Amino acid sequence: MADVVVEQGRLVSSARPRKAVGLRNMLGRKSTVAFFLTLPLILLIVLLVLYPAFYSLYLATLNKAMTKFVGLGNFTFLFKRETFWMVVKQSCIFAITAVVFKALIGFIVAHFVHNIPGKKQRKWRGMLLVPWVIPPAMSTLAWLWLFDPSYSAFNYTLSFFGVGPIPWLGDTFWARFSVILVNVWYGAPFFLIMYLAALKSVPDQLYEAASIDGANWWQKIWHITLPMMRNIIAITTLFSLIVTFANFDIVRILTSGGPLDRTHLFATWAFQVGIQSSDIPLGACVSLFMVPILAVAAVFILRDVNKRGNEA
Amino acid sequence: MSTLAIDKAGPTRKLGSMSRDRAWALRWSYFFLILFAIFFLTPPVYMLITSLKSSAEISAATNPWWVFHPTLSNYVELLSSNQFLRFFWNSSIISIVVVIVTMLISIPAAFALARMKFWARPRSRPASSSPT
Repeated sequence: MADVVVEQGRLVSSARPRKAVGLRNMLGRKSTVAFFLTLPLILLIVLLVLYPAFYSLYLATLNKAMTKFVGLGNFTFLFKRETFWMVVKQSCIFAITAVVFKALIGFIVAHFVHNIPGKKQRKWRGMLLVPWVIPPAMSTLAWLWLFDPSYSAFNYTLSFFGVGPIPWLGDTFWARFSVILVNVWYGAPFFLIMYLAALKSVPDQLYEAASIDGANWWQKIWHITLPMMRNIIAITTLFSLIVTFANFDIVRILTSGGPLDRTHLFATWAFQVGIQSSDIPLGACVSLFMVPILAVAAVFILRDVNKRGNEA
Repeated sequence: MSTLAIDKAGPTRKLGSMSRDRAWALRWSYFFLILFAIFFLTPPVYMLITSLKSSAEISAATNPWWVFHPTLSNYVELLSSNQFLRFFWNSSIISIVVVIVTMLISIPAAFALARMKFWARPRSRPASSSPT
């Protein structure tokens, strides 16, 4: 309706013969052209995102041989399994601990990098970004070699301090610790670079005003730095939470589920159940459980960002 | 202790103490940056060290953090194996094609979303899309 009105207005103003105007309007409206320009992207998303999502919804309602519709049978079966609840707990522990430590390390290191003079910053930034640049599957292999039970370089070093050999990937606690450590190592540089950019965008006058008012460094961080970085912290945390929650390669390579399934996450367990034990419907079911949990996290974290508009 | 007393005693000293504070902050920054750099760089460096070792040296229980008889034989073996060259070629082809296809799809879409008007958003009308 609105389109028609607009076109009539244009028709009056241009005052050309009727037929030509119709054609010109078709081309000049540009909405059609814009639609065709985005069409490849839309097709890509439909084919590679929407279709698989709905296909996995469909898969989750089949029985193991994928011949019969069982409705929510897979879900009720999962709820009765102890391993499933263990995986839920482990995924939450893994994601929350890893993201907290990544954010902390990123925040602290960003401050240190921000402190040193400009010329040297680039060198340090480059050095600290290395873990993020190496493909995680490769760097996890290096970690695997560092954790290796018989040739472990860490245990070799620790033996000088009289600390006995630690079963890095053999013991429940240490296996979880190692997996989280590798994830923190891989993810912290991302936080570092985001927080460094945020720190640089905080105007210096605020700090000067604060020091004139006699604020100490903690008050400066609490009342200036954190509020100014708030949106970036929220978005980075959400993004990293999603990626960490869905982590696959690190756990798969380091422990592949670990001692007695104690390091399984949703993604690795879904792989184990769905592909390796060839119960694809159940695997699809497991992986679908990531959706509601991540949706809740997204709502909680992004609620504030939307309210505050585009400050960041 | 004494610096604190001087600090409070005279405002003329204030500037000196501030620059001294900054120098210490800088030193601490470097100290912790080095610690974090060690944490971040250990696996890649260890990978490099191990790549220079022969299998015999790896299984001998020497200091794993250092290579005593460096050898390039691993690299030579890799670069002369047809299989590895094949993989290398595959990686290059995949990355080049992926970049090209991504560009072809995303550049028009980005332009259309940012600079042109859609049915869904009638109000925002950038200058470039205004009808002549």
